[in-house]
Amino acid sequence: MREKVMSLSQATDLIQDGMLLAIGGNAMHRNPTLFSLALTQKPVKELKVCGAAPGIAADILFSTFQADTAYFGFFGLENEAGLAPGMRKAMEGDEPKARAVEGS
Amino acid sequence: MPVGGMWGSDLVDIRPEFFQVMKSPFSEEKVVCVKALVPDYAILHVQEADIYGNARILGPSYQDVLMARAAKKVILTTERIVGTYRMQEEPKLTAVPHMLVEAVVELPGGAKPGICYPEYLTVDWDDHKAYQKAVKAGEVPQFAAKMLEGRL
Amino acid sequence: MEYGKDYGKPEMMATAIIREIKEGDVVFHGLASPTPMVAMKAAKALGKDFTYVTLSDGLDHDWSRPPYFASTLSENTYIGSVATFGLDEIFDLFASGKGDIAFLSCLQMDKTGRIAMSVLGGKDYDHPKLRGPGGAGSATLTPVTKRTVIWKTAHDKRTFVEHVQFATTSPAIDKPFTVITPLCIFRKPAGEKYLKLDCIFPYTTVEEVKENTGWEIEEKDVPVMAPPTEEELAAIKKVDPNNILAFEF
Repeated sequence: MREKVMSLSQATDLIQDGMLLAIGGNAMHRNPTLFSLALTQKPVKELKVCGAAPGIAADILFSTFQADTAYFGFFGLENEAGLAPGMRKAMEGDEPKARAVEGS
Repeated sequence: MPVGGMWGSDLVDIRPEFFQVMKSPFSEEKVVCVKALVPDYAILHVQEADIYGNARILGPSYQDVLMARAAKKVILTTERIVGTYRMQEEPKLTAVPHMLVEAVVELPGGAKPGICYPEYLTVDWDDHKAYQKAVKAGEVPQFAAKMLEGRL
Repeated sequence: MEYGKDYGKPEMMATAIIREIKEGDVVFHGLASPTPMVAMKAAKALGKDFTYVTLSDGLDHDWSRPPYFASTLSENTYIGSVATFGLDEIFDLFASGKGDIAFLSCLQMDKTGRIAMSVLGGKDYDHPKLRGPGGAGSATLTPVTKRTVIWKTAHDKRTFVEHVQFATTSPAIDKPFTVITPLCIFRKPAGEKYLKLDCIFPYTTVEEVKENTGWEIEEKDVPVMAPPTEEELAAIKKVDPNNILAFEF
């Protein structure tokens, strides 16, 4: 077994333009939120995200227009936490910047 | 790959690059097929991982185990790094084995302002409202910089 | 039991949901589903023997632990479970015909039971006015579930419309399909195409249902569902001291 511990900055450096990321957790639950927030500090773009319910960590990447496609069954933050504001911003209206591919 | 359900959904027609209806090779039955996704990375936040990337998920796992296996590689952020003995105590509780993992980041609070059972059980509503405001204002990178102070 | 004094619309809807569940059923509700969650916990408290599966991996969790917020993804529907059974396993279970009820919801619905969860308004699917949260499994589950039940806590013409533009899912012709609202129950029997008004709740009239429904209702005389019993109300109170049931109303 090889040791793989690294800093958050080093880990986000692994993400390249155009990559498809599966986002863990669900809605507001056990989402890798700080990892996504760290990605907003980098110029990475044209990301695609997928998950049964990608949640707030994915929403962050749409809010900055760094992600352009979401594969999902449910994309919201659930009840008190509301709809996904970043995803809506990127996908609604006459000139959407992102695309939905719903799978379930 | 073939899936159950999806009949009667307009989603099937609108995304031919993702959905196709095919005849079963074994009967006259029609089957909805979806394109299998191969994520470059699965990004998972867990409660416990060792330095090699063996990870345990406490409480609901949602689809993390499936995604770890579908992706080319996994990046873990973890509430804490634990000794490998923790995995050896009950191997079947290891949700992600080390060979699937490329990076382990020790990141307590990594799911905030959301929830991570059993560490923090409610949404941090102040930070969540600040996020919603930042989205409207187009200031998420600034919000992020504040949340990430000293953690990069 | 008296409407407005002993119970309101939330308790009537929860009671209607409880009564849908039969002994031996395998029953699922998804995320963002506080109304069926409270009703199903109450059904357990009433001693009804059924299998309860959720998105939090829990199977037959400890229903006596009160929910403290409306999320149906938390440890509240996990702790005290007798087994874990994840969403992927639930989809497989239902696809193989072993699922009796899935409690699902909608943004809009029409008389054929076509359901909008994906988008509302705008030019088309890719240019929507409102980008909704998506089907959340309903497109997968509706065609394969023995008795799909939609619950919707609003009954108005914005929700129940003449025609749904983009259907995230629609009922299987060969299966029954039920819709529970704060005013009534609609049912589409197996083999039929359209929803029929099945019964109304004690505090409303067929006229009021008609005025708030965007499609034509032909039924004139339908039964009135009995109000919640003392036992049903006590069970709802017992499992939900924080009144999470009120969240969607």
